[in-house]
Amino acid sequence: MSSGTSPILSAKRISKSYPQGAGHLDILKEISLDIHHGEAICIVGASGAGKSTLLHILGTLDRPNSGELSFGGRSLLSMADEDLSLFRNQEMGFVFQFHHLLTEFTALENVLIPLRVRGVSKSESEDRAAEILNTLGLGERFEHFPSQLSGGELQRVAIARALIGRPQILFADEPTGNLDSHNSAVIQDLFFQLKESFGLTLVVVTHDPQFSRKFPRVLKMSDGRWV
Amino acid sequence: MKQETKFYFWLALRMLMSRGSQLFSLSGLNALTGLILGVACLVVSMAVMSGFESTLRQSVVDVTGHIQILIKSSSGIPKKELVDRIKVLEPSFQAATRFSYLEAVMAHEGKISGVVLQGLDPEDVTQVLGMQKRLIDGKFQLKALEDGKTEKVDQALIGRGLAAQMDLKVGDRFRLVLPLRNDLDPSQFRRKLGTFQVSGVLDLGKYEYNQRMILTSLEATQKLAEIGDRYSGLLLKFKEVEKSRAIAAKLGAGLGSGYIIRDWKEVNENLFEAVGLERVVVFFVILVIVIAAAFNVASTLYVNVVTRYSEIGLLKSMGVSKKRVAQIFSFQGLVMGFIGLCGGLLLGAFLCFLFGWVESQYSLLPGSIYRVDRIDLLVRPVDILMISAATLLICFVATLAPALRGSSLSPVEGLKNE
Repeated sequence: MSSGTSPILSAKRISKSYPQGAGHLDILKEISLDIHHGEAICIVGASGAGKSTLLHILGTLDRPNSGELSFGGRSLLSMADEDLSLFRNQEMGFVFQFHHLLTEFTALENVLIPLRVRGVSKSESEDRAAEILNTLGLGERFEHFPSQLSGGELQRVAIARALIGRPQILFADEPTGNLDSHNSAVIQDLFFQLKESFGLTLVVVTHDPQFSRKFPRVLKMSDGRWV
Repeated sequence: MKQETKFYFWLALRMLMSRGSQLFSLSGLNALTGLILGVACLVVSMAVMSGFESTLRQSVVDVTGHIQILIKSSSGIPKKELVDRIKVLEPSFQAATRFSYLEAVMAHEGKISGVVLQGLDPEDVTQVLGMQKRLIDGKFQLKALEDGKTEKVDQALIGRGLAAQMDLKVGDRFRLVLPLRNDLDPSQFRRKLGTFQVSGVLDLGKYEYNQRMILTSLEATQKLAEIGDRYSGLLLKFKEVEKSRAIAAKLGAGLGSGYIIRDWKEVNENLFEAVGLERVVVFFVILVIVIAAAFNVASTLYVNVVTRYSEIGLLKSMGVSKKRVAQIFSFQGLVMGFIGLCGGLLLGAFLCFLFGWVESQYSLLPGSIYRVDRIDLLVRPVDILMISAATLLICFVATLAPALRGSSLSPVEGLKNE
């Protein structure tokens, strides 16, 4: 699964298994993938096919049992935790099925966290968080807590948080899986608009065929392998 | 402070102080209460120990001065000559008074008691000793009264325990029986009787002093013991009581072997050593309560970590490193420790105040057991510093385990815990 130009993110022969009883359960079986700058990739497949596990490994949230993972030619699996955390903060953004917002923080505070982790000042972080929330149509929701927001708004706040650090790659795991059809359509369109305006590389895992049809590159997984 | 560090403090505090935090759960509040009680116990016990030591020290210093010089030779040495030598050896010298020391038996209305009779020079005793402020009844009168009408009677100040035991009041007279050497037969003693009048009653602080001490003029003791103008030695006062031991050593080396020189602490060496040791033991025994409470705090923090798996996973996905996650939870542990410490210090201070009030209303300490009749609780800054340092250190160590548990969690493991 590769094309001619040099990939931004490259996974080679990635395997992942979990212990099960006396043996082990193979989730990913020597799977390889090259992702190029500006691509929009959709990974589809049945439940248990290994889509989310692959996404987590590509996003350095999980480690494979074997294989190689590199970003711009730099091996990610050999990086120390401090360096890998900084890399993740600067180059990657994540949107999950559940919004995973910190419940005791306002929308604005949730969004500015990645910048504050990077050491950006409070005032600058607040300005940039306000700007991106305005862009996503949440200008009236800065001081609202997650419990005061609707499902679609929560997911937009989560997207704002993923993008505030201007990452190169945005990973999304079933981003519309928890939304009604209207909000789902809004979020789907938002992903493509943001991809263009932020110059993002987009990797999305979804079950939704309507969403997957919008991607130029769709990869199907079954039983830990590409099909 | 770096922007990043400020942010992590803010994040940790917000997560700890939020309504859903374990800090405000029943177990969290229980853990904090335990810590507050433990710290309060430490504050009160240290205040009692420090107060006990201070009361004892003040009592000894008031009765014996900073340093006591006993003259070994029976020939005697003029006070001025001895003081001049002391001044040369130690420039911080402030005052000296002569004293004599006798043991006698008191008799009054059919009761008898062994007593210590201390003769002091009325001219300069108040410059050296703090007896005057210990007067609880009568007048601070050592000299015999001479009004020309009544017979001349030697005056005496007695300890309040002795006054109560012998049923003596100001103005009462009593007799002392002194054994003196029989020059004709050295194997025998002869009795010498003296009559004294109670001019005042003193609260000397220390139980033994109150039960046995009688103070009178040096002249009266010289007359009673038939020693002419000789005296037992000098009681000295210097600028700083804390330097007494070093000064005593210096005087010992400078004055030669004809003198026995003891500082105030040496006069009751064993007692002060015992008190010092007791203070250390009490501190560590009660510290166990704080340790137990700190582990309760750690349990609360552990639950806090477990209930925040998804937040930890999320923070890691945003680039928060393992080290930073550990710092967030350690900081939370320290904040809980700090809250418990502050609460404990306040409660301890209140209990000390309460103790003082109850003590002023009721007699809490049997002097025969505790050597002092009352304790003025003393909260020393050094004790507060030690309690604070020990509490925060224990809380920090106890919360390391939950903090490390949080930091070792993989981001995916956390995110799956929705």
